Amino acid sequence: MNIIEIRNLSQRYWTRGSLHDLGSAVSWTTEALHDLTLSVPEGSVSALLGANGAGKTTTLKLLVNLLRPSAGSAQVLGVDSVLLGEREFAQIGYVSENQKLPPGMTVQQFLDYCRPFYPTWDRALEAALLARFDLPVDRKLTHLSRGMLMKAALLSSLAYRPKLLLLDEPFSGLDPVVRDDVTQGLLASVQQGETTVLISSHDIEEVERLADRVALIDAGRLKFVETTESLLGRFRRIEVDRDAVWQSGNLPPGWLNWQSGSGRTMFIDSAYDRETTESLCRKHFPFAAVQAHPLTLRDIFITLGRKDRPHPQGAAA
Amino acid sequence: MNLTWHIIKKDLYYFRWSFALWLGGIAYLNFCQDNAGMVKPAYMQDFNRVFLDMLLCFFAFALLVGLAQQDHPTESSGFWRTRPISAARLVTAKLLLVGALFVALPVLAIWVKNLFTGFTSVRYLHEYAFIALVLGSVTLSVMAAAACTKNSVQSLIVCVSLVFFTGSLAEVLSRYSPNVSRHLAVQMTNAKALSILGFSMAIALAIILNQYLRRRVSVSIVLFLAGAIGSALIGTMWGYFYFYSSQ
Repeated sequence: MNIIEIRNLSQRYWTRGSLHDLGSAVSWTTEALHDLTLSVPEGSVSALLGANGAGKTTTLKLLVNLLRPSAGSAQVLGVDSVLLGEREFAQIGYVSENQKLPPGMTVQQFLDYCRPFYPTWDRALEAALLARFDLPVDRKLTHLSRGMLMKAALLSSLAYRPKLLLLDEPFSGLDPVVRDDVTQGLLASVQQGETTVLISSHDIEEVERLADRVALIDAGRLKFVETTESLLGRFRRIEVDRDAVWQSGNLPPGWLNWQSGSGRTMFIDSAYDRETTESLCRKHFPFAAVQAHPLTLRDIFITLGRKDRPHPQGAAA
Repeated sequence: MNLTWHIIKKDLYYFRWSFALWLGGIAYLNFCQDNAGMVKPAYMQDFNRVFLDMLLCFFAFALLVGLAQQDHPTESSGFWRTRPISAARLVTAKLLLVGALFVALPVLAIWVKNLFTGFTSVRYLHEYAFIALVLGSVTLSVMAAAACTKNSVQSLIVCVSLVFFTGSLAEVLSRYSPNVSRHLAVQMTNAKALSILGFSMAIALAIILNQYLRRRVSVSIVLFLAGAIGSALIGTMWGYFYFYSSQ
């Protein structure tokens, strides 16, 4: 069963134009999201990846009704996102790097303020998370560091065991120790299987530790959604002996990011299958020694980010 | 209701020192200012009174805007927007609090002050109702401006612009208003004032509800303009409307 169902979701923003623009065919709206269709299964940890301005934050904002969609719809916990009410929000956690927490409160007062709104608030879990995150309960929120604030926001979104947790760049600007604390806290909650997580982040190492599904958004368009396991399985860095004789002919479209140097030619195979790749390599490099190395999610993300750049086929010759 | 009270308590705690100052200001204005004036040099009395009144007005304005914008109705980074706090519950809490602070409390202070002068009997109830209507109208109008803007300065600009716009419009309209309107308007000052105040309150309330429940800024802008034009029309053409509607 899917906890989030997004159907043909689009979001356009008005952009500032000038009189100069009137003479040309410049659009006065910017499309942040285009016809996005995506579902998030219950119990999964899914990640939205994409470059800056790809539409990740817009997607999450649309899911919690911070924005109204220009077209399409999103169902969250079985309810249209624009109709989400108190009952649904009591089961949703939303943590964003841009979110403002109530000013003038200490951490304890902040938790005391949040608690009555959630019938499922777990005091024992709150205490456990306070200890895990090492938060100073008597310090004012305005006096907390960025990392501490993120922990406080996360605590206030985990303590009621939400069915759905939406995280918008939760690791942004955090030092490695705090990042690890946050990830561990998330993992502990997720491992109990009660919470579905949708996370948008640039911190791909942390995403790789957490996510079992990955969706890539580029310029507001969904490129693919698949399990992390299958994604890691189908990408390999192929290294070919530079002395190899390259047989001319069209290279497979899945071979990306050609690089030459230091006596080797390297490229990324985005559709790796041991037998198929070996047979294609034998066809294109008949006498070369070929090696395949697994990639991290970060390498895959960078490869996909660069794949639209000009294809330097000649580099292999 | 418990959760509404919970939100009110949060605001009361956050603005506790400002509320204390506001209470002190009201108390001074009603119970101390007259006595304090007696001991000062005569030429300083008026200046002192006007200065303190202005100061209290600006303070009340800033406090009211701060209260409304503490949980901003439209800002997407607002904490309450992704929490189980409905817009209806939030606006109820805010209206109850500003109503108590800026309408009920000043009226109560005036009533207590008048206890000693005999102006507190049921016969003078309409006087208190009129004061409450004036304060309610001003409070709701400022809150409406605060709900449509991001800070106190922007709210002040909106309020001042609307006052000037309405005044200018009324001035222009008065040059073309029929004689009958002017004659009747002089005789119906109270009815005209009540109409303007009631109309302003209704429009301001509509803007506040739109900002919290619908978040259509364009609708709020149209309502602001309708409020200004409507008030100017009532101010200048009231007698005319009354004359022809009663025929």
